[in-house]
Amino acid sequence: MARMARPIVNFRRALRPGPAIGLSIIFLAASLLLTPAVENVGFLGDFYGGLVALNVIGIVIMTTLTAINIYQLIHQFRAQVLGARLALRFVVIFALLAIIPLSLVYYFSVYSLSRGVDSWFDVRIEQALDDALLLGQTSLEATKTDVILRLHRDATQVSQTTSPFGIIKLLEELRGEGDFSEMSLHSLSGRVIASSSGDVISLTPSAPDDTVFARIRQRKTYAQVEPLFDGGLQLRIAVPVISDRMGDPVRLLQGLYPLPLRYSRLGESVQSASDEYNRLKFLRQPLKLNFVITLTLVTLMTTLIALWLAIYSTRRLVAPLRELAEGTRAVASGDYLKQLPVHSADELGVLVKSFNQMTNQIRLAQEATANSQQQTEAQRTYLETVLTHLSSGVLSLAIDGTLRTHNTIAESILAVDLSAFEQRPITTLGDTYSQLTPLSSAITRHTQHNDQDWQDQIVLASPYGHQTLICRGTRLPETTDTLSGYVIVFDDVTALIRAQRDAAWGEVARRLAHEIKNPLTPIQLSAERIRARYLKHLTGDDQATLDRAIRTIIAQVDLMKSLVNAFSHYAQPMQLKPVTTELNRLLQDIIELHRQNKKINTFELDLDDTVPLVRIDPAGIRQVLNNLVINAADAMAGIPSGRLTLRTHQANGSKDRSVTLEVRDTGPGFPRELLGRIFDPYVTTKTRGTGLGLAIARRIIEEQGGSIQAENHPAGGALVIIQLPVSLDTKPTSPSDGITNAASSH
Amino acid sequence: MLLASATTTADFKILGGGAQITNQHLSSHAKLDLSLDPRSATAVVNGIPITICIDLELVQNKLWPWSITFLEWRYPVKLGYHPLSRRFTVTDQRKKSTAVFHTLGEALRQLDRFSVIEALPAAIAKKKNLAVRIRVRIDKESLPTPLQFMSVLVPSWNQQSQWHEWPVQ
Repeated sequence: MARMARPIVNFRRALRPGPAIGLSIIFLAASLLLTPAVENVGFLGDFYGGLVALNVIGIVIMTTLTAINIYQLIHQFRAQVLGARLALRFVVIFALLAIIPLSLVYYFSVYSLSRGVDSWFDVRIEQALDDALLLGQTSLEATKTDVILRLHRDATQVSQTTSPFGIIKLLEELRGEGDFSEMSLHSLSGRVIASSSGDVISLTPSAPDDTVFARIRQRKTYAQVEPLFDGGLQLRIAVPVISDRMGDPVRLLQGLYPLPLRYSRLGESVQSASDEYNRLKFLRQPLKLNFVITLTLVTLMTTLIALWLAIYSTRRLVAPLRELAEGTRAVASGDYLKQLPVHSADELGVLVKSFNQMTNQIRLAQEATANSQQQTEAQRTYLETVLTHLSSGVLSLAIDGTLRTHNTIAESILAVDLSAFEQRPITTLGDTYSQLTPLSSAITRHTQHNDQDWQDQIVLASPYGHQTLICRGTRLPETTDTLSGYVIVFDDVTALIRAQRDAAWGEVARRLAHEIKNPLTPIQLSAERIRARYLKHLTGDDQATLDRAIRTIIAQVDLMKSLVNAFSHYAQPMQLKPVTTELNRLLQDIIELHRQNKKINTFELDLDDTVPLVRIDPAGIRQVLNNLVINAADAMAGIPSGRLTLRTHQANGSKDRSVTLEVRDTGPGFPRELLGRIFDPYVTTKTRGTGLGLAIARRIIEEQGGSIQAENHPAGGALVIIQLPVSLDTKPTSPSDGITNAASSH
Repeated sequence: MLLASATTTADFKILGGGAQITNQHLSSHAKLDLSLDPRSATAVVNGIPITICIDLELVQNKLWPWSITFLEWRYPVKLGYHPLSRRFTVTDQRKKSTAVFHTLGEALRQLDRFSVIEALPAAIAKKKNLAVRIRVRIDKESLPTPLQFMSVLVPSWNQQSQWHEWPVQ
């Protein structure tokens, strides 16, 4: 059972009953044949010993078989093989049911047998038989006495006869008269003198033995009843023949007297009955012993066969239950392919079939569930992929406003780790990050109002400027408590708005260039023509006034031309040529050009020598830096300890490899109200200027794949941070490229 | 008293014997000493006849340890008791005769001298190195069934002599 590896015994092998059942039938037949054998019925009596031996062998074999089976059961029970406990219990019950009745039957059978055999013998019967035998013996003695007397008379006659022929004739007469079957006369030396026999075939008379002669020598009579070989009794009588004549030797006269047939039969009958009784009496103990042994053998054999059959039946009964238990255990451990063999068509067979159907259905359901799970997982993966690659941030909230899930874009847009806020109220987002308070407040407001669909434009204020989000919310259908809630989708439209604004400004610049620049030249030409024609005709103050007015017109027209040119330049697409450039060297070159600027007291270069090469348009970067340096110099005008710091380092924590360039001054910094739109056109703090310098700088940086942002340093002063893309090349394209380009400031 | 002389030495012995072949006839004789176990003697008195069987074999001895048996004879003699006459009987099945004795000892002594003449096939009679083997035993198969089983367990029912062998003259 085995089982149970376990030292598990193979149940299937143990269930093969063929040889054991055959042996059981043989041994049972042998034990049943013992009964007629011990009673000596027919030919079986001759095989009693063989049957006993066969039974003993059978008992030894069956005992061994049963012991092995019981040992296996106990072993399986100790090894806690499945089904062994039930099997052992059944075997014990069956064994008790078999052994107890058999023991009782055995006990009472032995008792009854012993009493039955003893009851055969009775003192009165024994006495009667003894009396009958004695009666027969007495009757025989009477007959014998009569025959002895007769033979003595005959001996007297023989002794008086001297002629041999006379003796023969006399014996013949005496034999006939006395009903003897044979009469013979012998000398004491054993010689036959004369004889007479009724048996014509017999040539010689029956010779008396030495005992007879010994008696005669003693002058005594010998008389003996003798059983004949072919049945019947005869009297052998011998008497001495003593002659009156002197010198005659003593002779022996023997007469064989057959007892009458009726008399013999009666005597034989009495003797036979007595003989049989004595024989049975003598055989009483052996007979009882034989019966007890026979009964014991039969009982033992029957008990062992019953025990073995009990074990066999129990195993057959328990085997399906054990398999069922193993099957349920397998199913419990997830093996839904388990199928059990059906051994029978009874209730257990039906149970096994039902189990197989159940496991089959469970397997099908499991496969369906697995397929469904796979589909769900695929859908979830697909949805996650879609959400991950969406340009919109997505938040899902529970019905109570708890953040449930989010996508990576949401974290990217909001620049916070939203994982830390999952399973927490969305309000904690605003509590933790104040710049996100408008977003969390809007979401909380709409969820509290239980709005089905809503959309808001939310502006988030950050140190780097304003961030505009278009936020849309939808309440999920209430399927279950766990699935109901809200989905918030938001897009960062800051770049879009800025692009729209830039496009608008570009259009404005184009129109200005087109609408304003064209009339300026005629105005300037007309003013010069007026001065040329009419100045010579005026004198004094009029001449001076006209000349001054004409000059003013021309100067303002030039100013408007330069303004229009700046707009035109801003509206035109950038012609940038990115090349692999060593940034630190480029910065040093640019700073050298500004060393003579009196507005900047100190130049500080904090350049990281390990920064990689960047892929930029050096002329564009030079223009940007010129603008930034000039702006910084203007901001620090009048500040004695004005310091400009340029710092480069590799950007930390950025997915894209880039180099950071920081430009910091110690001026008053950016006005806070302008910080969010400092890179917009026409935003400037200068009284003179186009307000396009930082706007153009942002365009140059962004069109090269970089980014630029402005903030105020916590220690004071303005700080502009530029991210520039790292080049894949390991050598600069042209070390001196762009260095000689002229700087310009707007 | 009837059994006294029969049970002094409860054993079957063969004291001596001889054999010769004359005119294709095997003449064998042996001197036996038979006495019954008291249990067996009591059984005889109680009407259970005991068959004493004399086994005779004609064998040829070779150089190898075992011999070749040509002929086998069995001479069963039934020893019984006749209650009506109070006499012991010895019935020879072959001679179809019954002898009567006062005591069991006399009956056994009647069996002390064994002699027999058997005709032999000419082919066997001419063989050399012939020998006669003889044994006397109680024929257990002739016992009543209950005693047959007892004869397996009780040695007194298992009386028999050793095989005795002597060359044929």
